[in-house]
Amino acid sequence: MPSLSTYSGPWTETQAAHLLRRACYGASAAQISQVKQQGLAATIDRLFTFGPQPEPPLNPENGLSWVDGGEGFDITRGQQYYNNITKSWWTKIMIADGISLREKLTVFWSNHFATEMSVVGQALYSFKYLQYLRENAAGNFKDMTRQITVEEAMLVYLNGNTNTKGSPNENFARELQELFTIGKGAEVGPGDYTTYTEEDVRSAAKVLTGWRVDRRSGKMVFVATQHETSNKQFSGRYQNRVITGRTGMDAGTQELNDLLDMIFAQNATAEYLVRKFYRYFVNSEVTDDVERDIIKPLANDLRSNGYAVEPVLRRLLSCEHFFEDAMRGCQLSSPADMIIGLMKTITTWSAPADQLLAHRFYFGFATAMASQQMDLGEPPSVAGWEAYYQEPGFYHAWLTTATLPLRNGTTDAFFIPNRNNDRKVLLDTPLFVKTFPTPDDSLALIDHANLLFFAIPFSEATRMKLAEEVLMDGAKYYEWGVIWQAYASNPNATNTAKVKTYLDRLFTYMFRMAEFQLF
Amino acid sequence: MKKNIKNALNRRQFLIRSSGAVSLPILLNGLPLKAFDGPQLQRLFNTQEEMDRVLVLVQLNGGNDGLNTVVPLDQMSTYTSLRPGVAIPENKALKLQNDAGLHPSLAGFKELYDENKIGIVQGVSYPNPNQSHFRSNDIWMSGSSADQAESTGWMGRYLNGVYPNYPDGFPNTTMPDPVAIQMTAVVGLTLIGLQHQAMGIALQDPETFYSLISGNDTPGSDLPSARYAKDNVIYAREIQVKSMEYSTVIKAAADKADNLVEYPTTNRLADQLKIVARLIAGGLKTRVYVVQHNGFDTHAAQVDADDPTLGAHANLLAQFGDAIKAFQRDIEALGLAERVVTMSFSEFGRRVASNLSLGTDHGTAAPMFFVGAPVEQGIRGTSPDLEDLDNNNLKMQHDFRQVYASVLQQWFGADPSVTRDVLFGDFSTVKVIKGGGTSSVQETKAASTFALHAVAPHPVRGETNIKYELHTSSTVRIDVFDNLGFHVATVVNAEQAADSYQVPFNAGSLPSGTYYVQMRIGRESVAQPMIVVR
Repeated sequence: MPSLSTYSGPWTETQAAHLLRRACYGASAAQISQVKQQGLAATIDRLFTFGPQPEPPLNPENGLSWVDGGEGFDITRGQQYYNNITKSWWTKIMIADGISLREKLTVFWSNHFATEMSVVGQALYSFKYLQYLRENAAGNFKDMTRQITVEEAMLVYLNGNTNTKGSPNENFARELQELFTIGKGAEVGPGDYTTYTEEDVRSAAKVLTGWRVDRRSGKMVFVATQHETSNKQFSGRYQNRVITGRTGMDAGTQELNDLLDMIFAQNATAEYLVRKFYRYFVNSEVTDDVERDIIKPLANDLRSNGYAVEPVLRRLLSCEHFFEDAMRGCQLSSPADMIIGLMKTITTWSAPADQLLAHRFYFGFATAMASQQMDLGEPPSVAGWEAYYQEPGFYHAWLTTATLPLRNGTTDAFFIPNRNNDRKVLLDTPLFVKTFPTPDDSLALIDHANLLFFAIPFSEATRMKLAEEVLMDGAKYYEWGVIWQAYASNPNATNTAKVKTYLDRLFTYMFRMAEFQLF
Repeated sequence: MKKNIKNALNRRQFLIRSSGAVSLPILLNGLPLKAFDGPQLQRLFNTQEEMDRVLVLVQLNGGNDGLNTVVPLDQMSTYTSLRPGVAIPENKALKLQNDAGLHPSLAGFKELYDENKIGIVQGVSYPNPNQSHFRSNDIWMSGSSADQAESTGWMGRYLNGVYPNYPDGFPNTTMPDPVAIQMTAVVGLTLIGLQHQAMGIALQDPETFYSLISGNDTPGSDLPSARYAKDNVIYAREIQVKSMEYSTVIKAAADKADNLVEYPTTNRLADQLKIVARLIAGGLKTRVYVVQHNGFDTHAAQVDADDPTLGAHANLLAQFGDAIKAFQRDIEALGLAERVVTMSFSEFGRRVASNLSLGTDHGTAAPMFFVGAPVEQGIRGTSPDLEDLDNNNLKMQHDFRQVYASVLQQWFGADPSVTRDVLFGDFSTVKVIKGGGTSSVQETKAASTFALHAVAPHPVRGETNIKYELHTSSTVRIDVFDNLGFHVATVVNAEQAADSYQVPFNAGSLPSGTYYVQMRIGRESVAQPMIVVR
C-alpha cells in the first residue's frame, strides 16, 4: 500500500542520493553525505530554503544589462540572441543551485504553464516570465495561475492579447482549463469533458477579454472597453455558476478572481496538479492505490491550505511511498536530469573566467539538452514535454533511437578537451576519482560511482564486469590497485595518462549503460 | 572464388578514389599517404587483398599457462619435478606427437588436430618480456616492442591501411558492415587505428544482443528486480541495440542465418562465438572478430590438490576447447570452413616452476593456436627447453610479431611492405596457413641494421627525445611529418657510426596533433608516431 506517512526506514546514502536526484537533479558526494548526516526532516527544510534570486544575465559581449531597459539590449541582434543568453544563464543557475528544490520546480512550472520563447518572440517577456516562475517556485498555485494569465509572455503565447469583446479568442480559456488547472477528463458527451465543457471554454474566454500588451510600453494593460461586460454562464460541471459581468478598470481582475475561485473550488483542480507533481517527482504510473492513498489526500491538503504547494511537496518528498525501493530508477532521466545531474555530481570542473566563453560553455549544455528534445523555455507545445503527460510511454519519450546516440555523444564529450575552456575536460577522471573514499580499490570505486551516477544498485555480476571487463580490460579487478598506487605516489605524465585511459574507459562505458538512463 | 576478384577490384577502385580526390588526411600503414613515394604506393595497389576471409582473435586474458596447455612430453621428469602437484601426468595428456600433448580438457582440440585443423606455434613472446598484465597486454595488442609505448593497435593499423579515412564516409557500398567487431564491452587496443579511432564496434553486451536478435523479450540477464527499473532497463537496452550504428545490418545478418550446432551453455566464450558464426553466415563483410576468454591468471588453485587435471585451469581450457570446437563445427556446417581462421593469444605464459599455492606465476613464452580448415596443421617450433631457462622463464622461439606478420600475409594476403609498416619492422614469417610460405629472406633486415624507438617523454609537451640505434655506420635521415604528410622538420641528416643515439626534439612550436618521426637509411624506413599536446 502506498503510504503518505513520513518515511522512517533506513537513512543511508542511497535514500539521500534518491531524494537529491529527484529534488535537485543530483548532488556531489559531499552533499549526499551531508544529507545523510542531517536526516530527512532537516533536508526537507533545506530543500525549501531558497537562496537569493539570481542576478539577471548580462549581455556577454559587452557586460551590460539587457533587461529592464538596460543599454545591453540591441534590437538589431534579434530576439533569439537574448533568448539564448537566458538559456545559458538558466543552465548556469541550475548547475550552481545546491540542495534546493528551486530549480527543479522552476522547470516544473515552465513545463506546466508552458510558453515557447520563439513563439512569444520577445526575449524580455520570456525572461520576466521565467523570473516570476522562479520567484514563486514553491508559492501558491492559484496566485501563480492568476499572474501568468496576465503575464505578457502568456498573453502573447496563447493570444489572450487578441481576446476582445467583439471577437473572443478562446485559446487561453481552453488551455487554462484543459492544461493549467482542472485538466481535461473523459469526453462523456458532446463537448463535455467531465471536468468542464465547451460552453465553459466560451464563457471563460469572455471573462478574460480585455487584457492585452500595450504596444508602446510593452507592458500588460487591461482595456475596459474591450471587455465583455455581460454575465457569463457556466455549465453544470461548475455547478451552473454565473460570473457577473463587470464594467470599469477593475472588471478584468474581479472577473478573473471569480473565475479562478470557481475553478479552484473543484477537487479536480487540486488532483490535477498533485498528479502532475507525482509524475514529475515520483513515477509516471498513477495506480488506483496511488490515486486513493497519495493523490486524493494530497489534493485535499492542497485545497484546504488555499493551494500553497510547499506543504504538499514536503509531504510528497518525505513519504514512505517516495522512498520505496521500487521508486528508485522508475523514471528515465530527462536531458536536464542527466546533464545538470552530471555537472552537479562532478566537482572537479571549472568554467571559463571570460564571460563570453562562459556564456558559450553553459549554452553548450542548453544546446545539448535541446538536441535531446528538452529545449529549456521551448517545450514542444502548450502541453509541455510529452514525457510528463503522454500515455502510456511517459518518460520513454526522452529515450529514443534518435536521442540515445545524442545522449551518448554528450556523455562521451565529458572526456574531450573543451576548446572554449582552455582545453580542459569536464570529467578529469584521475582528479575526480582522487576524491573517492578508496580510489585504489576497483570495486569500491565502482560502488561509489554507482551511488553518485546511478539510481539503482549494480548487481554483483555487473560490478565484476565493470571492474574486470571494462576498467581492467580483461585483467583481474585487484590489479587496479597497482596502477592507481603508481599514479598516487608519482602523478607524472605517464602514470596520469595511464590511469586516465583506464578510468575514461570505465566512465565512458558507465555513462552509456542502459542503467545510466534510469533516474 | 569469383567474389575475391570482385572485392579486390573494389578495393583498387576505392584506393584510387581516395588518393586522387579526397583532400582529408589519408593514412596508410603508419605514414601519411603523401609521404609515400610512387613505387611504395604502387605496391599497395598491386596487393591481392583477400577481402572475404575472416580472422577471429581469441584473447586468453590473464596469461595462459602454456606448459600445462601443451605438455612437453619429451621432458616429463624435469617438468614434473619443477611442478609438483601441478604438472599434467603423461598418461593423461592427449598426445599430439612425441614431444607434445594437450591438456586433457582440450579433447575438442585433439579431435580437430586429428582432422588437420589445428596449428600450434611454440614459444611465442618478445625480447625483454614484461610480466605486468597491462604492459604485456599493451605490447601484444599494440604489436610493438617492449620499449615502445604505442597507443594504436596492430590490427587497427592494418585495417586502417585497408580502409583509409575510417570512420569518415563509412559505412559505404564497399564496406557496408563494421570493419571489425569486438564481442566485449569495449573496443580494445588491438583494434585502435592510426588516428586513435576504433576500427570496429563493440557489441556492448553480446548476451543482450543475442536475446534481442533472437526475438527474446527479456534482453539479457542481470536485470533489476524492481518492476519499474526492470522495465526501464529492458526498454533502454532495446533502444541501445536499435540505435547502434550498423544495428540494422547486424540484425539482418543474424536473422538470415541460424547456428547449426549446439553450443556449450554457461560458457561466455561460446556465447560470443555463437554470434560470430551467425554474423559471418548472415553475410557480414566484417574482417575481424575479437572475442575474450577471461580468468587465466592462475596464481593459486590452478589445479585441484588431489588431481592436477582438474581445477580452475582445467575448467578454463575445457570452456576454451569446447567453445572453439562447437564454433568450428558450426562454421563447417554453415559452409564457411574455407573462410574462417581462429587465432588465440595471451599476454604471457606462466613460470616454469609452480608456486606453493598449486598455481603458477607470471611467465613469458607460450604457444599460440590456429584453428580452421585453411590452417597449416601441426606444431611450429620445438618443445620448450626446460633446462635452458632465462631467469626461470622459457626462452622465446618466435616473436609474436612474426606470427602477426604471418597471418596478415598468408591469410589476408598483405604485402610484406604492409606488414613492415604495421609492425614497425620486418619480421620473418612462419607457416600458419596452408600454402603460406615462410620468409627468412628479409629476416629482420631493418631491425638488424637500425632501430627507431618511441619518443620519450610521450605524449610530447615541449621537449622530447628521439632515440635510435645504428648497427652499422650509415647515412641517417630523420624527419618529422605532420599527419597530412607535410614535412615539419629534419632532425638528423648525417653519416653516423654504429651506436645508440638520443637527439632532443623541441615540439614547442607545433600545434597539438599526431606527427610521425621517420627514420630512413637508404631505401629502408621506419616510423614512430608522436602525439603533441599543448
